[in-house]
Amino acid sequence: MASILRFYHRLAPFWAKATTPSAVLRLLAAMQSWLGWGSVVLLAIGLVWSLLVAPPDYQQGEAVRIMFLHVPCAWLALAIYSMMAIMSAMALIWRHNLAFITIRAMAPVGAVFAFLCLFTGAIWGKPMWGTWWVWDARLTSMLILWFFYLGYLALLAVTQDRGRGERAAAILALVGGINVPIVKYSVDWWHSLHQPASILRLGGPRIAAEILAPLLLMIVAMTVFALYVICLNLRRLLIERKNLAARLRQNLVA
Amino acid sequence: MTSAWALFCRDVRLYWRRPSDVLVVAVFFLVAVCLFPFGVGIAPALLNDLAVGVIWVVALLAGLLSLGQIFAQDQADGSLDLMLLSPTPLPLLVTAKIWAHFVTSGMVITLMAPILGFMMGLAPTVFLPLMGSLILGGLCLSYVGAFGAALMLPAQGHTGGGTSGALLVLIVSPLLIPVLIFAVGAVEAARHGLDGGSAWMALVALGLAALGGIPWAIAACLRL
Repeated sequence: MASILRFYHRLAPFWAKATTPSAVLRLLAAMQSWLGWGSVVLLAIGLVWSLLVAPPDYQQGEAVRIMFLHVPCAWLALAIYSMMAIMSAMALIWRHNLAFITIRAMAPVGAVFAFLCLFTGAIWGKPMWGTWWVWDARLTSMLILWFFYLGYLALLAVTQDRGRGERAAAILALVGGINVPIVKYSVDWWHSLHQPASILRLGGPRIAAEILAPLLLMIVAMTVFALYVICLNLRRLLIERKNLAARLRQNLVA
Repeated sequence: MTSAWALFCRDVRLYWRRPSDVLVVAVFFLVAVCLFPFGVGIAPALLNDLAVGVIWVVALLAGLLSLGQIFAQDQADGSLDLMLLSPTPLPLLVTAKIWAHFVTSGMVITLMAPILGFMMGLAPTVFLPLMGSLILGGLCLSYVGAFGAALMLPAQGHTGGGTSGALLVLIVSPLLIPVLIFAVGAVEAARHGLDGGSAWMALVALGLAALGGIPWAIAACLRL
């Protein structure tokens, strides 16, 4: 334990230097084009593979192809919210300004993916289940996850005092984190119309390799794309704050 | 303890001196439930099936509408700062404020519930479980709603001006869904002549969790 603490304290100055706004801005600027072009290339390959090359499902036919969008959206909606909840805890404990800004940059992206997950799910549900929507455990908990995103964004939007507003919103994001395991395990805990977990399960995935490979590629591609948008968002927020600080300093001198 | 009791009495007295706030909650509850027969039709069987859910959802909205301002007034006139500086633990003071709100809104709604139950065609044997669920669930509602109101304080500025209750509904309603499910589940079980034991236990558990946990969360929000 003592050695871990000593390691942590040795690391702290480097960490502090690496997380200053200007260092992060440089890092983001370096990452941005890689993420952007990477997502273009990966999405191009992934879309062609999943929409044209991959075989149709033996039961669902061509309609199964919406899965290649639906699953990455669901994964991103959950992953981004989990990251937001973890970062909220970190932000509230260490009061690191960058963490608050990062959560802020992630929230709208996650909200859009949660909506897309519900939307593509409805389009898939109509031909397969015969209905756009059922009040089923998985669907309902995903809808509530979207509501948590909206609540977080609404709380940020109405606050006048930015610092206090960001801290309050972080507490809300942290509290909303209890919903994430409920969404993930809803298909195992309750009888559900939605199919049970088929990729991350004990005993390996339950999907044929010809469909699993493009699906995993699409998940990676959409994740890179999400990181790209978050990177853009974060850069914008950091530059905004830097300009604001510079303006305030100028006024102070003048 | 004495200062928490004093705060409780002050808040109740404030509600008492300005009865319009309490009356608005009561009248909203009455009017909103009475809109449903106009909307869905007056077939007795249908109303009987909808009654518990409608009464509960409207009670939830009515409770939240009055909660938006629970800390705003205190922030505007500076008494919130005095509470933050007080040697009495902040969670205790928060608890006093929540109970004052519950006594003046949740209890009023509970007492009105049998009247609306009659109008929606519920059997009188269901009234006792309905009122019990409104007391237990109403307590959860006051706690969770006060948490949402504390989160929204940064939005109020120091003007005390009202941000809408609609925003509070957006923020805390995902957190209140379990309360709604178990409260309605418990009453529905009674309506069908079952005992609904597990739903009652879940409701009591939620209430105890709120009682023991949320005042500290609210105190943390107020100190932001």
